[in-house]
Amino acid sequence: MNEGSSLREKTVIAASIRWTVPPPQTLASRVRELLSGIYKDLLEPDEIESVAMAAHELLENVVKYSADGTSSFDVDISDRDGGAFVRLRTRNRADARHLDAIRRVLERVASASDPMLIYDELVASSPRREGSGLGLARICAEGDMDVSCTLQDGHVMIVAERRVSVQRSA
Amino acid sequence: MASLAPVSKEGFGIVPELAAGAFVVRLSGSCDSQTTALLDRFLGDLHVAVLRASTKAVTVDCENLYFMNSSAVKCFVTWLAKIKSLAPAERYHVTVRTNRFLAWHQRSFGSISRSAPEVITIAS
Repeated sequence: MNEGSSLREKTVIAASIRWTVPPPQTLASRVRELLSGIYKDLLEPDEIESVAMAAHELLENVVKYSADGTSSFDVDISDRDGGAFVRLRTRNRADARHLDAIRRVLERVASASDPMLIYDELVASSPRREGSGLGLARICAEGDMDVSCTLQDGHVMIVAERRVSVQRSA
Repeated sequence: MASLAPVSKEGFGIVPELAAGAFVVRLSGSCDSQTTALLDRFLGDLHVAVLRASTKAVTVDCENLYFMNSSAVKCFVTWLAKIKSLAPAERYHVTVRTNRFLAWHQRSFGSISRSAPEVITIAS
């Protein structure tokens, strides 16, 4: 990052996990529990709930779409623009159909004045879909997080981020 | 109630009771990808049992439910859609008791309740 840039960033806490074999089915729950414990003395309770829920939803997708291995999860807290941000990143193999579904949900949420309105619509229509199709919209609406995705070399990277109030010890 | 047995697996529990003519279902632990199929099946069985008993009220106690994934959200919405599809005289009402110390309860069950406000009430 350039000194003086509005994007100047200092990482406070960071952790990464990588798999080259299919991740275990229990991965999402284990990481959610781990993050809830780590952040207990750092973040507000509703922020912990939000980040833990988002990590769980993202990692259930990683487990679902990583049958051939090679996936990763990164989490960090950074200082930026006078505030602290939690950022979650998952990277896993994805096909064009999966990526298209992700983009459609994110575009729909991004175009709404209130993400909760779109989430409510998706919740109400969920019985008519295969799978819930709710995870990413839930992260945006219930978790109050910004979510984006990119595709590179057949892998999709999803980033979920929100501002938090970090409690720092003196 | 004979066919409506308690469920317990991987830290998730469902305990049904029939008291004073109303069903009470207590959920506990965390409902994730390992257990959402159990929740879905249970709510389907509960629907049949409630209709068979001609009961008009079901209470779902979520005081000790600490997490549920988005597939579990869908399970609840699917159940409520079944109740909505009944003739008005056959419908029953669902009350969800939430934990006021868990902020996600209000957000998740709030969204679920907006899918079927005529058949569900959220209480804390």
